[in-house]
Amino acid sequence: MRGTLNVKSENRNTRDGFSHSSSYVFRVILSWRFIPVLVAVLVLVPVGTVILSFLTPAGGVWQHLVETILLRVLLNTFWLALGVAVCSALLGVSLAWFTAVYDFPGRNIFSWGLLLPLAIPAYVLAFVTLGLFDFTGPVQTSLRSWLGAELFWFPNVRSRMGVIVVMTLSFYPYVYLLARNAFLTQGKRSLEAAQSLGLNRTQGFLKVALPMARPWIASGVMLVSMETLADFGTVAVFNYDTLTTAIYKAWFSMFSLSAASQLASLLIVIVFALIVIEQQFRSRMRYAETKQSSRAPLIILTGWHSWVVAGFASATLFFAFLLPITQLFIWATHTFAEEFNQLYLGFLWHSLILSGLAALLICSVALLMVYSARRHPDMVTRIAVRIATIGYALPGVVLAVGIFIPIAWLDNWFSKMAMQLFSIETGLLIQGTLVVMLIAYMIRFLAVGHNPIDSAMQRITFNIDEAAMGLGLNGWSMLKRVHLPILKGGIFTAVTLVFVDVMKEMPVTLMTRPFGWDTLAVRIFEMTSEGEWEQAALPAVALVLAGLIPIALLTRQAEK
Amino acid sequence: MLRIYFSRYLVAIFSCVALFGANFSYAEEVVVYSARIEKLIKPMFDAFTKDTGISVKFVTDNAGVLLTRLKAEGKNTPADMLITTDAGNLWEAAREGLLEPIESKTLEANIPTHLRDPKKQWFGLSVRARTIVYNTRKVKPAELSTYEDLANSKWRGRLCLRTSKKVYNQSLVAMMISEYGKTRSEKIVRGWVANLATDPLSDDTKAMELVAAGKCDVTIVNSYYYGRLLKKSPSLPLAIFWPNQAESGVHVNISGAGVTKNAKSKHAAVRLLEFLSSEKAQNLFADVNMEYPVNPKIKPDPAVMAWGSFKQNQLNVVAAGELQTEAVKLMDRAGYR
Amino acid sequence: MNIPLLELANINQTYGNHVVINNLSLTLNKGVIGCLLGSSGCGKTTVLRCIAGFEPIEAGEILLNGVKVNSSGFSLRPEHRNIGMVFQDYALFPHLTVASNIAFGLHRIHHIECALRVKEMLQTVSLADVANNYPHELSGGQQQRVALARALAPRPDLLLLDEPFSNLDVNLRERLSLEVRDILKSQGTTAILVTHDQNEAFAIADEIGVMHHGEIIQWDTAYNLYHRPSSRFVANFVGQGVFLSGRVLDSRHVETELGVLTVDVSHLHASDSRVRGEERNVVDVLVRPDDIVYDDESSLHAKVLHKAFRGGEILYTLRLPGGSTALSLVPSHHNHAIGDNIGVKLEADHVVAFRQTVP
Repeated sequence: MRGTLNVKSENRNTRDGFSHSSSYVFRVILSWRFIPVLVAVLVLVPVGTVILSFLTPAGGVWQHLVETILLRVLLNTFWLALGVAVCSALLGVSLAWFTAVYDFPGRNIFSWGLLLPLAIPAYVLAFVTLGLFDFTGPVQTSLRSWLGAELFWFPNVRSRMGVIVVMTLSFYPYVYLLARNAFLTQGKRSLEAAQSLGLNRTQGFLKVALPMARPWIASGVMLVSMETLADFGTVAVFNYDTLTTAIYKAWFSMFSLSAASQLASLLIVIVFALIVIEQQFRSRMRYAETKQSSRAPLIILTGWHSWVVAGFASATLFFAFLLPITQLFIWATHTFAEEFNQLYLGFLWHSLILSGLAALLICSVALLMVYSARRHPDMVTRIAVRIATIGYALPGVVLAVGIFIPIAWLDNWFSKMAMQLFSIETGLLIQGTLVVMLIAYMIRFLAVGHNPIDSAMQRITFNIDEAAMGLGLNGWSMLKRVHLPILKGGIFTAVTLVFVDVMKEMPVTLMTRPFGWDTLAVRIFEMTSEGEWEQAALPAVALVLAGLIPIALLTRQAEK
Repeated sequence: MLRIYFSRYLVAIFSCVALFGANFSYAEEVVVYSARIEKLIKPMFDAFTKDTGISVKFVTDNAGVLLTRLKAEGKNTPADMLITTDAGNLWEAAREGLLEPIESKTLEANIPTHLRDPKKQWFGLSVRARTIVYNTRKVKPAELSTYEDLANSKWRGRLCLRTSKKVYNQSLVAMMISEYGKTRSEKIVRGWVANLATDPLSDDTKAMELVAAGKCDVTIVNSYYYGRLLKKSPSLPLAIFWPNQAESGVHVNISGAGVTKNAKSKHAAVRLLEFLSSEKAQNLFADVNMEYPVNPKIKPDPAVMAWGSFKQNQLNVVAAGELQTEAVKLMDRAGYR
Repeated sequence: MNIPLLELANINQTYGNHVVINNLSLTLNKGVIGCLLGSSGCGKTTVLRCIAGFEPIEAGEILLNGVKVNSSGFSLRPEHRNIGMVFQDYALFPHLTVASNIAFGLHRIHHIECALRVKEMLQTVSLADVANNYPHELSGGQQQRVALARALAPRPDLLLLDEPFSNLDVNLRERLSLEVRDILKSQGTTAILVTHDQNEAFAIADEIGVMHHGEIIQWDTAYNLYHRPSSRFVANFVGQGVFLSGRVLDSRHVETELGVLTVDVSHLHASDSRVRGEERNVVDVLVRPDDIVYDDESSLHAKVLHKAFRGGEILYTLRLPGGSTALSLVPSHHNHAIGDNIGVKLEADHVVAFRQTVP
């Protein structure tokens, strides 16, 4: 906290400007500084709880894992994470570029439609895709009956490639959304400058637009990678063994929480490595555009070019959204009469209110963190921010337990104190409250809220701050009047992503929900845990539809 | 309508935020942590409440998570009862000292010995038989005999199996270890793996669908999955075979329950447990999921009866828990994913 | 035959109903620095963007080195025109260092040649010591020079500068505009500058076109624009001055309060049917502040209404005996208080006159 004093003049302007303003501002800033550290500590508690179990001997289980499955699982995880990251980047960036710069048939629809897959949980997409394209699915079955032959050429859907494709279709919107945001706001000026220097549009894209959008793309890919590493549902549907499935196995099948924790620690190490890589991508570049040039007209594609692009976007939308949602709808109509009851209003309401509250909390905290990191770009804050956003990469169930154990401990301690001091039977006070649930969501999803806001903040130059200070704005008034309007897009993106993610979330919801607080995701869990995927279609459809609301708002905002 | 909902939940939120909402304790109430999902357990709870006036509050989650939760909450846990869908997790809960031994003549009368804990800490409530399902066009019942026979090379490329990560298969192998020893069991599992027509599947239904589609000829599933699938598509060329009838019998697992060590309403919890083993509740178990009741006085669902009767393996299901870790290690070694 | 480097022939462009460029033509020879001068919204930037190829034109043609690059329906891609551009906001690539920014347009040549050229350009714009910095680490003036160097590095046939100094403070602006002229001349570059600041235009350009409502009103040298404006608009727009009412004596002489002036009034006699009789002989004469000089001996006395100190000179606003107002630029050691009467006299070999606007 006293780091302020150590900081040299690498950013003379802001720091001096602020510290001399008034003691009030100084105090506010000091409190800002605490926020990332505080949140990091909060996140470190569950992570620490998990890592601490590393110290308890896992005995034969760990040894067994090392001898039998660990290497395969690590390789699987590596290839999966790499494959999904690369494919999501390619798909997300190319679609973002096409819809941001070119005009082609259906562009208006695609520009928001391509976000829709966000609303479908990856495990649902996995099951539906597998159901449709696997050996017993309608596609292969009809092909076999038409051709009257075995389809040896048909790719094996239950394979590494299959998981990568499904996860890519499910996660690319993170990259799409952030990259598109970058392309839309980075201004056409730079592209024109490149053209005036003799580069054609493709070269301009590769040498100017793409590098300038790099922080956005990097943070999108980072979200995708973290989500991939943490995923259990999708890989379980494909029976593809990753580090996460190994954690489940060690814990739930071999009753070895310590072996599970050791695997989880390994996962944390991988995430830190990823973070270091992402940092390399950002290095010392600053991406502020001094001025947004007026929106240049879209480049109109004609002839076969336009149809290739439209076809590409359609195919993505079809496989990532239309096909699965249609299948879900068909299943839901089968099960509607049996499955639907008045409880659903409650599920829906719980899903919405939890997602809404969590989104507000997480994005507020993320905003404060980003702001604080901007004011104090020193090591302590940077590391704190990094730690605070690591929860997203941990399998939900590991994090859920990591959160639950310290809370139960705290609860028991309270209870003991109350008994000793006042002889009152308090029971468990904290656990099973919404507060715990929201904090758990925050620990889990802070990265989702943080990344878009952080990327947007890169836009605001220190000159803007100085200009605002010159006009007598500082502290909160500067945040409110200068930064918030500029950050609006990033904040809106963050709120939407968090909202949808919380709505889809299972393990944390299951473990921390108060009695009776079942959500749509809980309903899906119940159905799928018994293998009744068709029964799960109704809550899944409800969940997708509810998730579409913020996405629709987001796209409207993005188009403005 | 919406407004009523809204204000009600607003009150709920505020009371929760004030850190009090969730843990009021009412007089006659049992709190259950259930790995059995709402649809398969709520009818029994409702019947219990109707009979006794005691209300039942419950949360559902993975058994492993519920165990961890019980352990972390310790003395102050709100839970009076734990329900799982396998013996392994109950055994683990008992080993961790989370369950209380219950002396009850009713339970002992209603539940056969091999389906409850010898130390009386947990009791089976329904039976889940893990059996063989085959493609009627490609396999004659006479070709089938035992689980271990599926390791025979005549089944090369004809077997489909669910993943070894599912507890049902872990229990099956654990019981095999208890019966045949590690060496022979490992040989059997290796034989299965060698005979696989395709990578292990993520669920029983998928495995049966592949059998029906002709990708493979035979698989091992829980009988109620077969029931559910056939209810949906009666024309599938699938049939059940009860293995090991000349030997020790079909492998069975249980869905069961135990009363927690730190239960606040121990008395009511025991009443609930006894109720769940009673004829009334056992009938519900039979109806709700095509499982077999534990209580021998109750007949299964007519559709289930039609599959014929079979000899159950009388080995106590406690072995499924004791040897589960061993079973997982064995399957890992054998390359059974 | 001498082909002009750039030729715009009757180009037109509209946005909806708004005419942005109205039948505009201009010609620029090699090595000449031209300038489009006009207030904001007059269409000057659009002309530049049409030349660069960023905007289509609806009618007319643009020829570069005698080759058609634009006509209605055809537009050569910007990247194939070999035209460099310096943008108002510089549009430096934030992800590249200064050196990489300059090297950006040199992608077609060998890397050794490229490195040499970058070094040369860095020296030309005196930025060698910040070659490895990123744009955001530079001052505004430095960024401006990077933008210039980047545009010049590939040796474009034509350089376009869009309000290149508008983001800079006044001192820097004057210094840099001279520097830029030197650089352009040393490279032999043909260039077109767009600006609303006449001092900037005068400092850099050889030829200046005053634009208004999408038209070039007058294309001429700075001297001529100032002293021989072809229209009342140009007279008003360029430089300062007042109009004094006068009576035409003959084709070369006009009588005003300041005496009889030698004026070329031939162009006034172009018939205007609305003007008849006596009115035909009443004109407005443009008098620049430097046309009226301080003279104690003079019989003509004017009263100081207002004064603006400009260092070396003082700009006095005077009331002439006849009641009209005039401006006078006087060396600053002739310091008078407001309200003083000072002697002035007209000292100009020629002045311009315009017919009085019809009421």
